[in-house]
Amino acid sequence: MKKGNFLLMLHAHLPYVRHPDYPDFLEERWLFEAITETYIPLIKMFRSLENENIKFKLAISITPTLSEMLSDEDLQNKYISHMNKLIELSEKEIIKTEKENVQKFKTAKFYNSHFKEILHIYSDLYSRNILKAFKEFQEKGYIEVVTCSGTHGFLPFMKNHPEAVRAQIKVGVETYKKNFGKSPNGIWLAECAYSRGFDRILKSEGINYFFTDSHALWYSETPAHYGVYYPVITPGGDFVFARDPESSEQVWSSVIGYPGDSRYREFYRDIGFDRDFEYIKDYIDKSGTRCNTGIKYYKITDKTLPAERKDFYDINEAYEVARNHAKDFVLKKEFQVKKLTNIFDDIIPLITAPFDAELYGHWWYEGPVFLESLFREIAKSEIIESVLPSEIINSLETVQVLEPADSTWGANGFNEVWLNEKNDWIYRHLNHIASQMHKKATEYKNPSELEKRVLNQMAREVLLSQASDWPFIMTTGTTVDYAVNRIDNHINRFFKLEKMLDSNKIDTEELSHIEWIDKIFNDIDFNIYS
Amino acid sequence: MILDDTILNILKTEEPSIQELRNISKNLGIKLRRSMKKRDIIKEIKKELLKMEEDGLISFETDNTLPPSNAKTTLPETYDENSMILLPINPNYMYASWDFDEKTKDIIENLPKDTKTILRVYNTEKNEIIRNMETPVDLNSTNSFYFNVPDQNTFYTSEIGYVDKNNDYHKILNSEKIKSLSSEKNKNYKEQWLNLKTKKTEEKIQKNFMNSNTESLTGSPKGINDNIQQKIENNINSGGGAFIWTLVKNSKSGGIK
Repeated sequence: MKKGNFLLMLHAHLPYVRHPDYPDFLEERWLFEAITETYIPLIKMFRSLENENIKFKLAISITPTLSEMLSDEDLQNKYISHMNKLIELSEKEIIKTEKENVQKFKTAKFYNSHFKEILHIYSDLYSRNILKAFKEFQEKGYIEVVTCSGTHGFLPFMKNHPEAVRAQIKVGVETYKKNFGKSPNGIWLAECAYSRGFDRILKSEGINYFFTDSHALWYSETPAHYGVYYPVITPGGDFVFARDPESSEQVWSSVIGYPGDSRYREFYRDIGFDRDFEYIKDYIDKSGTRCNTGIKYYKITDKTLPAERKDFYDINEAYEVARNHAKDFVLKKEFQVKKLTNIFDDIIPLITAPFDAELYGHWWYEGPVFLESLFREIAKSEIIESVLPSEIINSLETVQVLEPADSTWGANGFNEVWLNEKNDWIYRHLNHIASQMHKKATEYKNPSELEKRVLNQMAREVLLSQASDWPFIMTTGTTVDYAVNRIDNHINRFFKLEKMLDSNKIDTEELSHIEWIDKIFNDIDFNIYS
Repeated sequence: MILDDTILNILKTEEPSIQELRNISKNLGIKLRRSMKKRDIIKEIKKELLKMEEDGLISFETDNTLPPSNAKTTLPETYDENSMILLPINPNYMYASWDFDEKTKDIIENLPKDTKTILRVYNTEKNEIIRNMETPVDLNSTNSFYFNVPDQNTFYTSEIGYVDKNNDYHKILNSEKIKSLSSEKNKNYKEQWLNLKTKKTEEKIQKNFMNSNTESLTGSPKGINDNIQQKIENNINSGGGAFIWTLVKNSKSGGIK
């Protein structure tokens, strides 16, 4: 038996950015880039470790919105077109860079073969639905997939509408069942946001465990005996895994975090911005708006240097750095376990390390190589081993009962990111439609088939408007117009549908159009709001 | 406005009364010494307001009833219903917003000119009002307010009302009770332990390991006074939407048919 357990938890999430009414839509690229740079590289890692018989265990949340997009035929077709264009561009790049620079030429050839491999995995191995890969590795016992609130709604701000909280959880559970053929054991609460009493709702929906940030256990009314290094159970009967702050800092910190190493790929130098417009126009947004293509030739070099003075990226060098960083990380975890074992001599301490999945590959390009090396190193370690949440739960004999403190994993650890001067205006509207939805669900006990369609679509619009991504974007000031429009559109569609219901004049053409535009959670039942 | 007009106007006026300044200080949670003069109190208020601005809680420039930049919402300004939402932001601040039905709007519109409309906040531990705080709000121009809560882990409720010419207070509407957030380590040593086989719980009284020197808060990814925007820009220190932030930094949104 090893001295310490290591639980890696990856949170894979994207908001629902499906726009069937457009042949190309800029925000759909969020999904395409995440598939190419994170999700398929993770699957590649699973396959490679399995082929070499290397034991690896990790938990991953695949949010309902992401699941719905990954299994959507329209988006699958668009991804294929996107990848074919990208491969075409990478072929042009091979020709172009041969005359430019030897290092760029080498990287261009890498991209070309890498994109072809990604497309092969996507199309040929998993028939365009990569959820199958996560299901396969879950069934093989390597990974444990957990669910998330339906549209990544920020649940603490729905607390005065418990039925809205429950609806988010129910949708999360049902979507999981549809894709993974069984009920989820655990959940990743959107933004790691826990508030007192949620445990009872989760338990009643069949959820056995969830994750929190560290201070949920530090500031609980009775502090956790082992801090964040051992699970606790809530009064409602759910197990809690709390984030280890040390592991987070080693990866996330802008000062000491690994992704900032000068030899890693520079995110902000992409040929979508660098190449001549005439040359690149067919590979960026159709409006002519420049955007990332995923082909980047420069390394971070020095964080203080302006973008135009960066050095050329060397992928072999970067991969070697990632492998060394993985070794360093495992050494640090071993040291941490030794330290913890000296303090807690009656338990095997658990280090829980949750991260946004998209950090690995999308933002930190070499992240998947880091993770693969991490599991290779852990497999060799005599001190730590990787574990699944359910394995830890099954090994427990006694556990401390406590109510975690309200907390999130956002900046400052509370709710400021999702409620501040830039986004506070949305809550009066979200509150209103949640309340209206509850009223309608309670009122319509025996709706006609047509009324049921309207009510189900109203439920979809409420859920889509509640995504925590919209207030987050408003805070960061990135695609604010998009976030405002999304909230606006979903709530206005809700009103339109509500009016149809109230006036008893259901416009079937309009209803069908809205169902097509916001086609998510096909099997939804509006009664989740009653 | 995020920051009530009243506060800004008082600070801008040449001669705010010392009582007005003391009221503002109280509502912002500033502790004053008896000997403090007007200019000292103004200095303290400004310091607190700057801190709130750094925390992203208030703005001196934007109007929070409208989305920022070019983004425009077409959603209604009112739903003609009496409602008051109270939301916790962090251990020190809460946010209240409200809406009125036609009847209430009529009542407010017909109040005598010099009627003071106010936002009250009660500390309501164990259903008893322990403490109440209030600030004047202009209900014609303000429909939300950020306020300081002096105690963590404590139930609060907010209320909108007015004071008539006889100095009697009349409630218009109130929010539900909300518990303020906590960033304090507790010292309850009565631990409950559950035996998962027997399903029996046991109480253990002991000094908590984590309150001794085994773990410090150093290295926590949180800094309660750090500026949120800066934290996010400097690298997503603590997760949350990393993908969107990094991906869309240089992008605009949209599609072409």
